[in-house]
Order: sequence, then C-alpha cells, then structure tokens
Amino acid sequence: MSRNSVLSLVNDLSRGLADQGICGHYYDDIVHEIGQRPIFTRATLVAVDGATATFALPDTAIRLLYVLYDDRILAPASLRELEAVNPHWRDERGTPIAYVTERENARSFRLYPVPDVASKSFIFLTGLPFGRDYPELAVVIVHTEDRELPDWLDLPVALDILGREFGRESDHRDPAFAEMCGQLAVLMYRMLEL
Amino acid sequence: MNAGELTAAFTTRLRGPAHTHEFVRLILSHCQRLINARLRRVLITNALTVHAIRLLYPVDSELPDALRIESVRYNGRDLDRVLWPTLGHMSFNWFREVGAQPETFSQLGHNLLVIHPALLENNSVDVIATKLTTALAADTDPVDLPDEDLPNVMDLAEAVLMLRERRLTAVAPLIARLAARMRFPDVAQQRPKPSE
Repeated sequence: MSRNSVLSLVNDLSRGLADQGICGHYYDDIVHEIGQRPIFTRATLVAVDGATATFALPDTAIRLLYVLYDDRILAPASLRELEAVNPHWRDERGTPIAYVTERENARSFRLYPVPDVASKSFIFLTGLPFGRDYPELAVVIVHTEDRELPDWLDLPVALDILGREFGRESDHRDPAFAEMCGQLAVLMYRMLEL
Repeated sequence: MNAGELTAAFTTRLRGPAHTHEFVRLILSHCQRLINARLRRVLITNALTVHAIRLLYPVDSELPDALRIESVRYNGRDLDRVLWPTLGHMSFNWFREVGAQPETFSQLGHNLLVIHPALLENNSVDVIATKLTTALAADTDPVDLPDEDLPNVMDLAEAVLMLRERRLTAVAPLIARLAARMRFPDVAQQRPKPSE
C-alpha cells in the first residue's frame, strides 16, 4: 500500500519528528495535485438510458479529460456556445456531438443533444468491455483518478511531504531541511518526467 | 551484483550515523528505479495480447514492469507514436476503428495505452519499455543496472541518507552535482510543483 509505505518513509527519514496525521493530509494533497494532470488515467463505461443527458463523474474521478459517445470523441462546449446554436439546446434530442460542464467544480457533465437511444446491454461475455463486449451507444469517461500512487513514487513523494512538513510552522520547523527535501523531490519528479 | 553486495559496498562509503541494512537497501532500490527512469539503461520487451476490436489497454495491469513505454512493434515494424488528440484529427470514429494492422500507438498519461486501429482477431504486439527495475526486497535480489551506473545510484542514495542525518551543508552540493549529471541544472532553484 503506497500511502502506508510513503508515511513509513517519511517517519524514517524524519527520525520520527514528522506529524503523521498532517503528513497523511499532505499525501492526499499530492494525489489531488497529480490528479490535475493526465498522469494516472482511467476509462470508465457508463450506460445510456435514452432519456438522460446528465452523467455523474465516478466517485474516484478527479479531473474529466475526455468524453466519448459510442465510437466518437465529443467536443467540449460552453454554455454560451450551445445557447448560440439553439436557445432550447437542453430539449434537443439526437446523437450527442458535444458535452458541457454546466458549473465550475461540478462532478457531472451533460451531453448535447440528449441521446435518444439507449446503449446496448452491459453484458461482458468475454470479459472485454472495451473489446468484443463493448456496448454500443454507451458513454466512455476518460478521467484522472484519486488512487494509491504506485510504489515507484514512494521516495519522491515522501521527500515532497517532508519539504511541506518541515516548512510549516511547528515545533520542529526546519526551513533548510525542508528546502533540501523539496529540491531532491523536484529532481526525482523530473527524472520520472512528472 | 545482487542487492546485498550493493548495500554492503555502499555502506562502507557512508560516514556518520549508521542506518540499518534493510533501510539502506530500500533507499538503493528506489534510487535504482529513479536512475533507470532517467537514463533508460534497462529496457524490457513484453508481448501484449491485442484483443479483437479493442484499442484501449491499461498499462498497470497488462505491463506491470513497464515504467515508461518507449515503442510498440507489430510484426517487427515500429508503430508511430501519436498524441491522443491526433487520433481524433485522423478520424472522428477512431475509438472503434478496425484495420488490417495497427499503425499508431498513443498514451494518455502513464496507464492508458491505445493501439490503433484495432484488429479483427486476437494478435500480439511487442511493447518496449523502460523497465521498472526489480525491487531490492532481499539481499539475493539482482541489481538490474549495469555496474557503470551504480555510482549514480549510490550518489542519489547518499543524498537521501545525508538528509536523514541532517548533513545539509554536504547534501546541497551533492544535489546540485546530481542535477547537473541528470541534465537538470535548474533544479537547485526550484520547489516541488507536481501540479505544473
């Protein structure tokens, strides 16, 4: 488990001085910061019922990257663009060609127009939902996700956490140590091309 | 060389407070992976089964030893690497396209690989990747990097252990030298920003 191994490294490298609770929060922060970039991505299949245009992001999704409908990648659109095309765009039905995120920080998106046909059944006889079993007319959401980081990130993330932990106001604050940890973390991230 | 030999050789050059053998080996394990990530010295070739009518492959589960995909070959021919948006520029319907042979590959992030177009029947491609070097969990585990790269591994590990010992005046020039050797001379001026 990466979170536990990272926090164990933090504890070892700080000789027990680091606050484990706060370092856990730093780990979560780093996962979300990494999730803002297309590094750890996932494609999720979503069924279409032929009447609903709005779809929720998966619980683990951090940032929506792409939306596909059936075999086509949809263009992101703005509310203004859709209103310019058709003031009654929300009522329009047909084959989706675009998607819109209606509110900032919304964990959902809306297809335009409303898909008027339900997707095929989600029965994966060969266990390959993106292969022969792909349900036609379904939606695919490509997103970054909130997940345990892989083991090969343990050391740079531990140093990144140490840089934050020993840079904050505390009874063990050590700005010089924090800066060195931060620099070494940056070097390691760059070596990994992150 | 195995992990025990590397750890012993490295321990003899360390000065200052002692670290446990297992902790030193752990740090060397991480540093070996980082050095190989940068230098790409150790590559692996894995056969990836490409299923019929399937373009999308999760790297984590299909290629667990691959740290970074370098190239993909089909029948001895390298596929062209393209960016994900380029697939959409080539065709609106690329996501379910089928062809006689794969022509391109693309990645979205570290762990989504696209082989395009898909094939009508199952087949395989060779994926050449920078190896996620073997974790040095036991003294008998092999060290993957060649001997000439081990000084870089030990220097990086020494920087980490110097930090643990709070030998900050000694670690700063070591980090600067490592950064220059890894061709990142500007690192010494930066703060970690994984969101950029």
